[in-house]
Amino acid sequence: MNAGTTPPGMTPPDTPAPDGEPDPADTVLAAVQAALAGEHACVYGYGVVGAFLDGDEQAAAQRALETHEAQRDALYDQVVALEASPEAALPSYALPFQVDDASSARELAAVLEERLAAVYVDLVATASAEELRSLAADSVIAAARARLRWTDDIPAFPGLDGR
Amino acid sequence: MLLAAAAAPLLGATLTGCSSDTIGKRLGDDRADADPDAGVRWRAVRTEERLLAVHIATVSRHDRLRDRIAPFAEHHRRHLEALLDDGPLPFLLRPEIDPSSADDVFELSVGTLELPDVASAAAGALAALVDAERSASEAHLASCLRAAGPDLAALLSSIAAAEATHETALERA
Repeated sequence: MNAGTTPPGMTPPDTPAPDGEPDPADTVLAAVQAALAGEHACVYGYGVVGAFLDGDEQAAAQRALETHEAQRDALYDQVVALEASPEAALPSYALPFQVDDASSARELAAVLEERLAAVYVDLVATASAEELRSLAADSVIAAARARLRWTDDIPAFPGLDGR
Repeated sequence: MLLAAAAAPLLGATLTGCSSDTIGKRLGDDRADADPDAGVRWRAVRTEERLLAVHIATVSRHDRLRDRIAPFAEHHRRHLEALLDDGPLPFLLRPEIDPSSADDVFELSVGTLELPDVASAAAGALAALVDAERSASEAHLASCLRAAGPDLAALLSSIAAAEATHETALERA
């Protein structure tokens, strides 16, 4: 087939829906990929967090890392089920601030969970399939609870505050 | 910046609701019947009102818990405001609590809602509050899965998360 031609009745994958709105399937995929990218970043970030903690806190960071690895794998499978290529982890990530002691490590963990909650709220909004929305909503709750491990501050609207 | 993409609002989920229609909000009119989420919104409003009533009853019986639970009660006031701003309620159904009717959240009128009995021991009262937060979180999560509107679904997931953290924080107290 020549480039630029489309069989009758088919829409090229990157062509907007007829009314100018993005294709809902593309929107869902983008939200799942964003969540996957967020989980990749959390796995990296908790590696940093754990390096500056010890004892029970280091163990908690390790458990969080493993939780995010499992969630990353679940999202990887979701992207594959959507017949797309999962976002890969970056070799490294720039931290939002300098982490050089236990206090800044706890702060980083709280930021990671706060931002992840926001990504999952977006996924809730885009996912109409019950299974995916349920995964996303459970993840908003999990991120909000996990954040509480690192800070006493509780937002009124986890994932939505400040937006 | 770490999680830079994640930090950006991907889809504009906000607390302001999905409808530009302001007439008929709060005090639903017959156009609310056309809103597929009116029933979901109503259940969420009533869940939040009952949870607020538990907080009010708890402080009424144990004033020394006031400072400890006030931040959570204020969250519920804001949750109720956000739900009422989201869109219409079903025809003839009205909220019992006006969240803006008193500066002190514990002075809000609960209308015809029945205040629950509160345990005479503060520890028992706190345990009941933990149960109430957990139940409300579960109810909002279930409503989130039923919501047709993306903004309402997002809002309900966030409220469910807030109440789950309340449960955890109160259990630690």
